[in-house]
Amino acid sequence: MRRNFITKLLFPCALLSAVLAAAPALGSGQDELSDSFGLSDPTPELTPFPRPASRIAENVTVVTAEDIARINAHTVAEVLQTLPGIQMDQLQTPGSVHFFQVLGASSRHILVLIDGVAQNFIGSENVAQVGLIPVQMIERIEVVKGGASAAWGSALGGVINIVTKSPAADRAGMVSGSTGKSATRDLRAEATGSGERFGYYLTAGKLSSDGLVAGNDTDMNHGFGKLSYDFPNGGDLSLSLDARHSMVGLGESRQLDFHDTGAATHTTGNLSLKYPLAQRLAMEANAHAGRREVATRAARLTTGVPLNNARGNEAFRGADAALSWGDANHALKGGVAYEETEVGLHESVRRLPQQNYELALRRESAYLNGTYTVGRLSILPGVRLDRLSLMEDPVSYTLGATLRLTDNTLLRGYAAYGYNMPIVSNIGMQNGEVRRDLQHVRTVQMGLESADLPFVWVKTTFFYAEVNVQDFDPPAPPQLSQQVKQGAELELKSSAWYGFTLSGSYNFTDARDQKTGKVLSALDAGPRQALKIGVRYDSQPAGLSATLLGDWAKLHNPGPLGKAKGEFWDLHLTQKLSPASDNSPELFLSWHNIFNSERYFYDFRANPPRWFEAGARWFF
Amino acid sequence: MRALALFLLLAFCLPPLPLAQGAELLILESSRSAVYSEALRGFRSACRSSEQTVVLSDYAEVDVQRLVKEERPRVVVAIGDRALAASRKVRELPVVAMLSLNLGRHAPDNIGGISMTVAPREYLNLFQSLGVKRVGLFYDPKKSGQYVKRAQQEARQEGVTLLAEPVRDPRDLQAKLERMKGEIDALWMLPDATVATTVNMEALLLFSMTQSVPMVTFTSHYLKNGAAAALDLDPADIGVQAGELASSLLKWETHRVPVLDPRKTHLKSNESVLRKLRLRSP
Repeated sequence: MRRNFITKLLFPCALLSAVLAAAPALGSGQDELSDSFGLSDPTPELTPFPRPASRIAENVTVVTAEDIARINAHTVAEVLQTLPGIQMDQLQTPGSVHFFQVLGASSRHILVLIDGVAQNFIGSENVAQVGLIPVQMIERIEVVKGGASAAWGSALGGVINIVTKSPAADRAGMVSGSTGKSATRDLRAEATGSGERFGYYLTAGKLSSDGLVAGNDTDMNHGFGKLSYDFPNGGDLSLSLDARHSMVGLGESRQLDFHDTGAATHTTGNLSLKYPLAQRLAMEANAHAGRREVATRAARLTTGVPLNNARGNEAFRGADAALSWGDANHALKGGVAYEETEVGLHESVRRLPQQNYELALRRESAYLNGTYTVGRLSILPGVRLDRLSLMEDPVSYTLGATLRLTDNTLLRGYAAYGYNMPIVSNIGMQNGEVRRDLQHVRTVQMGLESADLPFVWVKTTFFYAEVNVQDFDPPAPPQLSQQVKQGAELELKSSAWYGFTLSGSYNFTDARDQKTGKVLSALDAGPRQALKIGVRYDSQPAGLSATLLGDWAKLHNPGPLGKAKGEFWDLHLTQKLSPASDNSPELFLSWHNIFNSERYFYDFRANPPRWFEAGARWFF
Repeated sequence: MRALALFLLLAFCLPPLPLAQGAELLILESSRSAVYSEALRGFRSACRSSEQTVVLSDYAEVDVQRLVKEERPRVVVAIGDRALAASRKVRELPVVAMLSLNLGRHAPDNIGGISMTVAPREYLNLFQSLGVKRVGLFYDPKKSGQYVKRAQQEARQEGVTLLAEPVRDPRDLQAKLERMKGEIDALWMLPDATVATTVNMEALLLFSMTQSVPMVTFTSHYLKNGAAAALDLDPADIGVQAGELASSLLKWETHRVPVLDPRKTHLKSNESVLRKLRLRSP
């Protein structure tokens, strides 16, 4: 088994080495100037440390636009799958629908935001479809793993905060195209620039595929635009519009004799203001409105008899305002928020009451978070009050602390009590009535992050969470189930050595029913064990970047239609054609699931076999 | 959990007196180069504010946006090009850059500092002291267009004729150099990355020697290779100047950061080249 695994790795490693060996070494005028000024700043063959330690209490992972570009990702789902502690049920054709888990918490309990606007579709199990969010507009993604209600509200399991790009100072643009197996194509364009005070950022694209597995064809058209105005004192006002329309094959099974297709439309307008009022005092305000629509249709494959024909829609509007004051050691942030959502669901085949309803939800919130530092110890309290229509009014609170053992080693921990709204959809409702009682979490996390060890950055997190969540396994009516989810996460990253960087993470999650002690299935809690490995190579003179990613997980009791174990290996290469130029065209290619592995929950939503895609980007 | 809630309330009521102050400055140093250290010493002598310093070359990757969010400084100081590149995504704070060759290119209002190009007037004074009237100059309009425009205006006032040739691709220089034969009395080199490739620098120095045209450069590094004179920068004074700029930004809380010429230069010359070209020492 082990020998077979090593043999499997030899070929991609040989390919990577061949590409690296062929890379030319080139110089530039910039190097000549640096040398002549005595500023020569060559990248050391071995950097002493991988990255500085963070100083926040939560377990946060950040992904930047550069990280996203180097793995040639199409949607947020592909990016998240590379991160420690996050597990997609399975990645399918780019532009598909996915469920996922973050440290054992279901995607129903993860709040996904784009520039502060929630993307969770309340009427569709409260899941934000990260597979339907294209990546081109993204500047960075910040993932908070663990209960975060005191800051964010309904976020029992964590937050995925997507920050979009801002207008660039100078005019710039990009056109990109890629094609792969099963006519999987991604076309994108981007334009940005700024005048004296005004700036713009525009992007549009089309992602489509005939489907890498049967019944999983996708077609997504998307556009995003942002106009900004910079105030002379450093504040800025921006107006953005995000529009996406997707048609996607959800699954197909000859054995079970059905096929399922869906369509989704997202439209969001967002007005955002950041304005400094005085020294270390700033105001942030946001107003947003939009509409989400989803349609799903399932039918017998053989006869075409409809099984399900549902249409859901949500109209939402909201605003929030916050004042933040202070510095890194002594800060307060307080704010208020208002959100209103009209949810409608209509199903025309079975016409069950829980699938045919219209309701309006309203939420008023106030929150306060602080940082107090005494010497090397920082205390980070937070509290949030929410008033919800139709449900109980939750109070969420957190108390975090960080202790700087050295300048680059931090001991962190927090305890929190938070909530999630009940599931407002067919599987979470009874007779079309919304549950009043919320889902709750009591959680404690502790960890250590250190960048003091030579050549390696290390971060460990131990988590314990008691959750009271809706359980969908037993027969109706759905009920609150008490569960305990605990485990550990270890992340390692090496320094760069001759351009090579190694990274890895290991997650262990033990999730059980609190009363019976029964281990929960991977459907409810993600994998019990997960291992992710990355090898990166970068050569600026050669303009080459290469990334080899490995992902192994062991799913507990995925069900009779699942495959519990399997490792995925992906290789991504990007080559600049003119490495010395800032605007060099780039060629890129990605080789997915190199060893043709299988790991999924349902065979009618299986992961794709080995596939390949290649493309090019032009910058101007 | 009730105990936690109580503790939380107490935490918000903590008196602010014994608390540590956060850093006013986030200093990003590209590497531990001696030149950067010299500039940083100058900076600290002129701006005595609390600071958090990160040497970028110590790390394989540094997320400056995350650092800014966590450290919450009032001004970011970028020393060197790597630090400037890492600071370009900082929009909410003023960024003071120094010893960065790319300063001024595509810079938004909040990014400024001390440039690496000496004011045109100082070069024009040098040309006058050398007694030359027609000066040849190669530049990339994208990188040095604004500087050359300013130089042309000032050259007209000083009675110096500037023959400025745009070079958009490093490979175009050789042909354009041929056309300058017999047209100029001196060659002026700017720190322009499109023009100043290693191959081009050799060609320019060869041109200077074969055509007996003195070459005036931005650094004394080229004197040993045959350049006639150079205006060297003073890293310590650039640091002091940047420190004064940062102090004024902290004091007046402005967001717009100007790009300033370095104010102190050291004139260096190659006497043997000057003698050979029968030029008086400046």
